[in-house]
Amino acid sequence: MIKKYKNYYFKNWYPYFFISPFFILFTIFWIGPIIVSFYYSFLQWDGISKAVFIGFDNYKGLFSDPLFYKAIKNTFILTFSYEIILIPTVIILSVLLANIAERNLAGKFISNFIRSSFFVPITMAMVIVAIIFDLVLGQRYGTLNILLNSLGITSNIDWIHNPNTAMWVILLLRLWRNTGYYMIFVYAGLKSLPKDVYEAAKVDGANSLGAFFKITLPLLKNIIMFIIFMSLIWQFQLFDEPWVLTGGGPNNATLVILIYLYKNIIEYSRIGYGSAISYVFTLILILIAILQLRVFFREKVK
Amino acid sequence: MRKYYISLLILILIATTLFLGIGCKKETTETTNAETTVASTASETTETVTTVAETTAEKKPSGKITVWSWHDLDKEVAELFMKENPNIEVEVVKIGPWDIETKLLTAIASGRGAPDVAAVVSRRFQRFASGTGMTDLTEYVGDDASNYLEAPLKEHMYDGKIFALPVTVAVMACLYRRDLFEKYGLEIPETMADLYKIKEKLPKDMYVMPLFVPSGQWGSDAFRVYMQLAGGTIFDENGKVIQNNAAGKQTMNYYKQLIDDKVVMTGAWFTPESYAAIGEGKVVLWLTNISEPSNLMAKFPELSGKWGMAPLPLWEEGSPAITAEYGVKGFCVPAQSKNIPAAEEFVKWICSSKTAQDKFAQNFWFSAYKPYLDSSEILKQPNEYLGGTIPLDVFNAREIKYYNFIDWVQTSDILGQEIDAMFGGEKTPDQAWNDFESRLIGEKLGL
Amino acid sequence: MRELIKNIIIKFFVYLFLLVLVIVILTPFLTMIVTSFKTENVLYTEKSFFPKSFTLDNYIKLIKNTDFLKWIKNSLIVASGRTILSIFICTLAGFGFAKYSFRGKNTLFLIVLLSVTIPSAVTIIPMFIWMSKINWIDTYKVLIIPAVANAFGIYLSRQYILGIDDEIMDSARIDGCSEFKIYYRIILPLIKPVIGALAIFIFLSAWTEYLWPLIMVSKLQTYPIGLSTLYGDIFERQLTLLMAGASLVVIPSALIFLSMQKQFVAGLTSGSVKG
Repeated sequence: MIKKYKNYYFKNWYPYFFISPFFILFTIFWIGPIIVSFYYSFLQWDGISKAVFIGFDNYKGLFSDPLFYKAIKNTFILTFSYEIILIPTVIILSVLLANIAERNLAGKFISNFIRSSFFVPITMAMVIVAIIFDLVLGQRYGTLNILLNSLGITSNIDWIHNPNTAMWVILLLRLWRNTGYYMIFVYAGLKSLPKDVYEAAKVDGANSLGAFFKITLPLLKNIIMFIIFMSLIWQFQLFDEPWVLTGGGPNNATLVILIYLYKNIIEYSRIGYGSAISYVFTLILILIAILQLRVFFREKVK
Repeated sequence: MRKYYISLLILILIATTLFLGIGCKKETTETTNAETTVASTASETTETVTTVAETTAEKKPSGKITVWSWHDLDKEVAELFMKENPNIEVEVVKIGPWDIETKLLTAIASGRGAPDVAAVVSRRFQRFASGTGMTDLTEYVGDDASNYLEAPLKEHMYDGKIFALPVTVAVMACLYRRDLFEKYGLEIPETMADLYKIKEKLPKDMYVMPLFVPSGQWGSDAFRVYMQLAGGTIFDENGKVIQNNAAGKQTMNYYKQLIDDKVVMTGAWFTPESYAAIGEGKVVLWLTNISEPSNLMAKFPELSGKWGMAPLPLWEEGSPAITAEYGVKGFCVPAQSKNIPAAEEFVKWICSSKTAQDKFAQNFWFSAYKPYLDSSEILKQPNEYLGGTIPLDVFNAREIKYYNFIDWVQTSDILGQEIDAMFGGEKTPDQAWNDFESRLIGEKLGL
Repeated sequence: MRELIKNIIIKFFVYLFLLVLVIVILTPFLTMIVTSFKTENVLYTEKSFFPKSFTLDNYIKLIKNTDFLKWIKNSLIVASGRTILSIFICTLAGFGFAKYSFRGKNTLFLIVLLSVTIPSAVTIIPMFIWMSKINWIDTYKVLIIPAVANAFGIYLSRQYILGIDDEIMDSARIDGCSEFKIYYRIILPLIKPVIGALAIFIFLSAWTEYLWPLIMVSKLQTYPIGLSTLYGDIFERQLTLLMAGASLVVIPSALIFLSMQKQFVAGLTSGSVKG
């Protein structure tokens, strides 16, 4: 009797033991600073002089700030166009490569090579990528314009510094960089799909396209949902690419929220205002995250 | 269930109070004064300083200091310093210029982590000068202050006190291609209107000079120089925005005119694009930094002798013969430094000593220290790359006009945006300038 | 017959499409490597893609005149430290969440999940103040430890471990295994794909991280920070040197990541669990 009680007691204790290292670190290095910086959002502080408590003034200022809305608009446009292009591209490419790999040995090598080359961009440092894109997309001496001109299309667009094209350059850069990363997941998922379902479908007379939509996609649902969730959240937090390439764009054409946040805190020394921005932004993200969780993961969580 | 939530709440509260207790920087008594030598009882130091406790000001400064700078040359210069001052050990850490600013900001905000000496981009220094983060160097510099060129020195001053010393000064000058001038029979422009005369003699696909548009934060600095040439400034002496600024509107319109008349080649400067165009000879002159030849020498050694340098053209006939700063670098001593005497010694030495300034002069960097400028042989030598121009002559030919860079970081950002809006065709020059003024007044929370 | 021709045509275009895609993807990479063999002057004057004369100057300069090797060493220590600690702690916590039920389980997990939405720039100033108070500034500790509690890690671990049969654990318990031994000997080997994925993710983000090391350390420079000092002021902006610095690192790191990637995929397809 006592032994049973002891076992029960220990058994209940174990999970806390397992999760405690994580949560101790998590509280110290995440929760604490988040709460403190929430406090900052009610201050007017430039980091150097004394801080002044101004209540909700920062938030009020934020809601009448045209640059803040511009940043939100740009971030949303970039994120959604990114998602619309990324997900189908990743899926189609992965399926294509999985198919090629199935066929023969040469196919396997080709598939591996292609997948590997797609992964290379993410290993390159952002500073370098920005310089290279500068070289390629330059107005007069950029590779792209030279190519276009030689094909007969006169082009002297300054791709990176033109407010109309700058956003799409950033989008392109992001897609170029991240496609390979997400392909790993989808490809792995594809490889683990059961073959017999396809055999059965073939016997029933299904063609490959139909098989793709009716069999492959539903089976990949979990992985796809996961990728959408992660990529959406990360894309909203886009910073490096626009910052290094355009610094927020000619006249804020590529101003995204995190750039506006960074500028306020570090360059304008408005720490309180910057903190307010981050909290409104976080709130937006949390809403989107919860929305996604409810739509996609209805069965899993809770 | 309740017990669980209570304990969670307690945990969060503990974490919060922990941080709040050390959150904001309160009024610190840590800011030491330039006067008293610090008797450091190295207890809670983050910088590794091993100073011997000195209490008298007569003993020579000694110990170790950490210097943050982005120039490799400063490491060499520091070695020379250590030879002349064997008691002081200098460690130079290479950090990029914008990164230094970011790190200084966080160091001052938290009260810890600042170096003994930091190199600063002077036009962006005011936000540090106007706080309590920097050591007041006024008494230390004393009478020597009058030996510095006025405009660069004032950039580092706030409320009459000196918070950093200028180590190198660059002004805007006129670099021109001798070979192309000969080829097309051009003359060195005396006024801005002469640029049009040059334009007339050039073939259709060539430009007179580059213009930094789209500007962004960086390019707006060139605009500021033109504005000064036109006799205007954005802020008055009290730091208030001058409204209905005629010079500002004039410069904005002039920019548009230059672009529309295809006098200038547009594009961001200092990129491979623009350098390739310059090297190729798409432009015949460049109104830029007087120190730019050091860059050109590295990138285009084959153009040696084909370049020349002249003073900046006047705005109009009869305008004053002035130029403006276009790249001043200074050294400051953060108040958190544990070895202020040694730091001050280093700063003074690097800004005024012949040894240091000779090294800079070899790289085309001009001193702000008048005695050195008067006696420098290096700067008086005709320069081969520039086809025989004597750099010092160009430097001295124009008076450096002072500019109040108060809060330049945000100002230049807004200015850059408005210039780009005009350049992109969204606004007329006048609209852009008016918007700039109203944004400056409206967006300056806390100024 | 028509079917065969149609197949061949489709195949041809697919392969062509892939070829173009690969060329486009790899062009920046190739540009970087090719540029690292040029001198500054050549970069601005010669218009051709390949330099007429290859030079190793940039690499020599990189290793001799800069702290390049130090940067690499620092980044390796930080990235490895983070990866090892993070994998251990996150999988342990994920195990706890997946296989046990306890009070507040769902709330805690939700909190962790939502923390992903908070950008790190938010926490940086309070963190700096805190880190400088406990003298962690300019140490390895500050670069490794705060990042260990990784929300992504705990999520992946939990999801994957959920798919493991409870029976394995129960039979182990009957044999007298302690709970921790279960984690160590049974779960850990079974979640190799997750470990692989996490390893790639954490190592990569530690390797390329910029803002955190920028603020938290000064002398202890990691690779991205060091690289950007080469890009510092306009007068010292030597692009070719920068390219050399980047090229030298990309090739080994690309190889490492690629091999981890293969392991991950292999683990997923051969393990006893379905993804």
